[in-house]
Amino acid sequence: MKNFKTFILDNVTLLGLITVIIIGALVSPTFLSLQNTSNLLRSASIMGLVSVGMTFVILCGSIDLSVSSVFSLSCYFFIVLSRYSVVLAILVPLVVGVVVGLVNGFLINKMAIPAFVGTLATMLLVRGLVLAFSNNVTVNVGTLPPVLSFIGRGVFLQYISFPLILFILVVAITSFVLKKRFIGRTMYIVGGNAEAAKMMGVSVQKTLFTAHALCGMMAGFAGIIFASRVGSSYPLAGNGYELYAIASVVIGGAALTGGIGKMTGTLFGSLIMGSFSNIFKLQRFIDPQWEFVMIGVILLAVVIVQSLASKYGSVGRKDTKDYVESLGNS
Amino acid sequence: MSIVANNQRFSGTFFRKYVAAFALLFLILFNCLFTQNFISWVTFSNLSVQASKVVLLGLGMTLIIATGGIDISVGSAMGLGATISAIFLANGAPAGIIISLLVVAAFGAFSGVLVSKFSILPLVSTLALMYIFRGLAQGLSGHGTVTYNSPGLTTFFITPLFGHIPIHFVIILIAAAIMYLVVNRMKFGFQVEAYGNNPTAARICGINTTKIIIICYTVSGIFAWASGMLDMIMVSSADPSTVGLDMEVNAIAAAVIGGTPITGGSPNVIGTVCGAILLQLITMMCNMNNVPYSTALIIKACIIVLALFFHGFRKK
Amino acid sequence: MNDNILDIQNITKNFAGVKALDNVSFSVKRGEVHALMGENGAGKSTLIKILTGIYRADTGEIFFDEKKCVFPNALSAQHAGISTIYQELNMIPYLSVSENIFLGRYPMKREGIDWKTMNEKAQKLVDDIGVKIDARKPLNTYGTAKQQIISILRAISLESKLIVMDEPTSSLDTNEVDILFGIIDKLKKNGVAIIFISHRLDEVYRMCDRITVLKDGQYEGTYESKELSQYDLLNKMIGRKIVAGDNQKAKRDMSGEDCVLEVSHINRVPHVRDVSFELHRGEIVGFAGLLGAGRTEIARIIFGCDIPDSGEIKVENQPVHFRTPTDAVAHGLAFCTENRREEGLFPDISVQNNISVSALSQICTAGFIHLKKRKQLSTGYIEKLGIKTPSGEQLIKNLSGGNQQKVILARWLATNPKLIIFDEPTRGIDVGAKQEIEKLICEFSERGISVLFISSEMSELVRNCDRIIVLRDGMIVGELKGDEISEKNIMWIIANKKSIDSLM
Repeated sequence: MKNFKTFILDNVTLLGLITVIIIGALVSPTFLSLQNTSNLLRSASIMGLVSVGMTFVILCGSIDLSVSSVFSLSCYFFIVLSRYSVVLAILVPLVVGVVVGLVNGFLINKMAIPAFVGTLATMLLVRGLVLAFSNNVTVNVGTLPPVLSFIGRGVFLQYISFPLILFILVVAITSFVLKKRFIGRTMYIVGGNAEAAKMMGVSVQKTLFTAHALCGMMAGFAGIIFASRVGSSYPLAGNGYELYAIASVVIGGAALTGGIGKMTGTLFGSLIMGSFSNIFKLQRFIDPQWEFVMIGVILLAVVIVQSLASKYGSVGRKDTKDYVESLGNS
Repeated sequence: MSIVANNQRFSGTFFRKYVAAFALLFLILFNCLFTQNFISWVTFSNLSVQASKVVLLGLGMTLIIATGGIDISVGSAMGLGATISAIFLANGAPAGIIISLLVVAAFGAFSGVLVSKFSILPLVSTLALMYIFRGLAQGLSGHGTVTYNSPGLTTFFITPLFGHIPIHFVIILIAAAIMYLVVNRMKFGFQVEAYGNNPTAARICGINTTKIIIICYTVSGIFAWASGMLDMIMVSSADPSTVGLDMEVNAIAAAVIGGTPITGGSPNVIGTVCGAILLQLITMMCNMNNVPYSTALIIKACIIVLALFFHGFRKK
Repeated sequence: MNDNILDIQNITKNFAGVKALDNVSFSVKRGEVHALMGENGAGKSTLIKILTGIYRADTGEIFFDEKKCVFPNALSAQHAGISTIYQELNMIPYLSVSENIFLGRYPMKREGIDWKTMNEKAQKLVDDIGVKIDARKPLNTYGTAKQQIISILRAISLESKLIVMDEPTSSLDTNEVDILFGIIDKLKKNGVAIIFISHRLDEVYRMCDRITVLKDGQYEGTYESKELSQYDLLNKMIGRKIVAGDNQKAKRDMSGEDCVLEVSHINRVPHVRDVSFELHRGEIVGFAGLLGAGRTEIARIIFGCDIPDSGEIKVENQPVHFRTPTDAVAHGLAFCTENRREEGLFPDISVQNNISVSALSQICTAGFIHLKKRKQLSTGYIEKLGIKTPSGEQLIKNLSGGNQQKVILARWLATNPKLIIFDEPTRGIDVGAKQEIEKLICEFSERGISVLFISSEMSELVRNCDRIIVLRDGMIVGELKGDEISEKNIMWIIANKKSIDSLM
């Protein structure tokens, strides 16, 4: 019984994914079709990349609300630069993402502004930039160069999209870094206990800078793929992605207080969010406009469960008692 | 050592407390001197109409920020309130305005419960609610803007009192006066201030902190509703996708410029009102000088950061 | 080779003009367990922080392993071979046990951290001391006790030559303490020196070879533990010469009065064990004991800040179950907390508002604060208690410590309480203000308010209390009444864990 319980608790995200897939299959016959699955995975991959970046930030106990703006700014640069240079079209959006991330890091570290307002300000700032550059209109560029077009639309074996491959690759690499590299571990250390981190000579500031820069870069990367797929850039692109990303990370088992979370969790979280979003587009019973409501409700439900679990969880004092009893028996 | 001279009137504390008022005064003077046609009833009326929404939201936000929290759902709550009311009005049921008030206030109380009882980060719970409200508004309205026909209501709100004084200005004054009284004269306001200053001590002093937080979020919801009503009445319709969009940022900015410490502390009502009008004045100046909306956003972001930075040193 | 691993010479440290350490010197031998004793404010933690690189000494030198050392930060001290086990664990709760042990010193393979080796090494360390811990599980799967042991394992794995243990046993129970002492014995055999800080005298005497006593930032002396009796140790730590003219209050026998508070058999592991006592109307009862004896913890339970595991509390013969301080205040209790700054003051709020915060219902009509009444209330108390402030509008953070404390007294008096709990009411307050506050407390009791007086300063308790309850390790070990009340007797009870009756 106890093993069963721990199994459920350990794999709750995976079970959630299976549940969503079952619901999808019941709601729409086309849900499990190869074409739909391929589409689903492609859009889940794009949002998933934003979530990967958000995972770093949340692991450190911080947050980034500016990802949606960075996403749309990246779309804009990609589309505009695609006319001139393939290299610049890819490089500039990534650099822009990193720069915004560093600005966030600067506000949080050097100006001691709480992350939620600091990144809210950069969200506003970057959105202002997007509107200023694009004059608040959709930017189109006839056909993209084949290389750039492949980023978002490329397909292998008819159904395996290039964005999916990129996403899996990024998850694999970041997962490796988080698990095996010191820089990855510092994020857990800083998020878990910043005081202890300082004592051990881990630089909290450096870690936060890195996490925010990576988060910005991932948002930029996702923007590139999205723009390549759609072939145009519009100012509201990426609207609400910060919610998607935070929800994916939290559903993936990360704690918003920092220090807990895994990239694989975020992977499943993104797939859940992607499937969910897809089901909403396929089904005919509920107006798709309710999608955000449902996502909000899911996010709330998950954080409430987390909060209850930490309140009544079996850690701490109770365990001391168990331990004492076990000593008494032995 | 035992007694410190009481000369704070001219020290930094005093200046910091009223920095928003000074900045506003300065900006008004500047405009009087350099902007053509600035001194006119039309400008006054426009400013009042525009600022009233931010003032209302900002007042609610001030309470919440004073408790060390944040509510980024207020903009969407505005939209939800306006949409529900507009739907009822379109169906000829003015009583629906009350229903929309109850709905938005109940949601406010709900986020208060999430924050105080479940200790969920205010940012996350209100982020979720922000999208829930927006989605609800869009879902309930079916598709697009809800228009109703009730010219009496609109006329009442756009007819200036005594020929010149815009009713929105009166609303600003009344709301500010009420909040000033609540914060500075009422038990509740004082308990909020105490909680913001030192939550642990507040608990030990016997203050029911859970109740205080729930009330704060409810009040913020009510202000969001009122702000949504103002928006709706001006145009006799509510667009669920745009009413109150990004208004939470303005509200936060107003409170922060006003000098309510973002990490919790004494709420500064006058500061918030001045901050809100200041923000709106800047937006207006941008409009009058044909500065695009995008630049106005960037300016706003910079003001928020500067204000945070400026007031940030107060705690240390 | 020099016999001493550590030589501390003439260390002085000032904080904003206050001497925290005054010319302290002592040395620790290789392979010995050396106790560092002293009450709050004696300078132990400052000394430890200087030793481990968190603070810098103003003057003085540290010789570690025969080399003169200046540690710029905690890490460099660790590299040199000094590691510390803190009271508050500086570990990462969500990471695995093995990672916490090897934090920052991960065994590496070519591509990155070698988790397999790390887990194996950690598991071996754990198994060696015979505790059932799975090194791969997150740290917070285990309770504080095991976490404490794990943090010691970290120090062992660092191959430190000197381990500083700051209250390592404060959250452990007897069995766990045995395990810890087993580990310490092994370390000792391997030539590791240990500085041991604890307030549990038994443990100090059981483990330590020598004892160094600090008092008020000054070095009192170093003694062989075999040659120093518990009573003498206490006397050196907390004993004070009786100052001439130190007039004692007449001790009253109040057992005939109504019972205001009755506490029976309350428990809250590990700090409070089976505590029962009564408090009568107008009585001043003192709680004596060393730090960590559970005094504050009991007060917190009575006031509803913490909920006891078991036991019953009655206020005026009515059983009560406080879940929050709000309930306690409603029943006429008041609590002057130990940490004025963290738990008492509202720094950016005026003096008069700080006074009226708990008594708002008296000065409010329909939710509105009656400004005149508030002014009357606050000026009344400002005069009555002699609070020195230019006006009631002054922010409380601008007052001196003594006046701040008086404001908090005023705050609770304004609620017309039946019982006030004072936790270290005179800490950090100059002598004049201290006498005034003691006088006020006695006045309250004359007016029928019962007082529970917690203090680390025994002379203060002896001067003011009608009855003194002596605590040790979370338990009541004795009670003193009337003529029995003296510093000597308190120390005797703490040292011998026996009630005074057996002395008679």
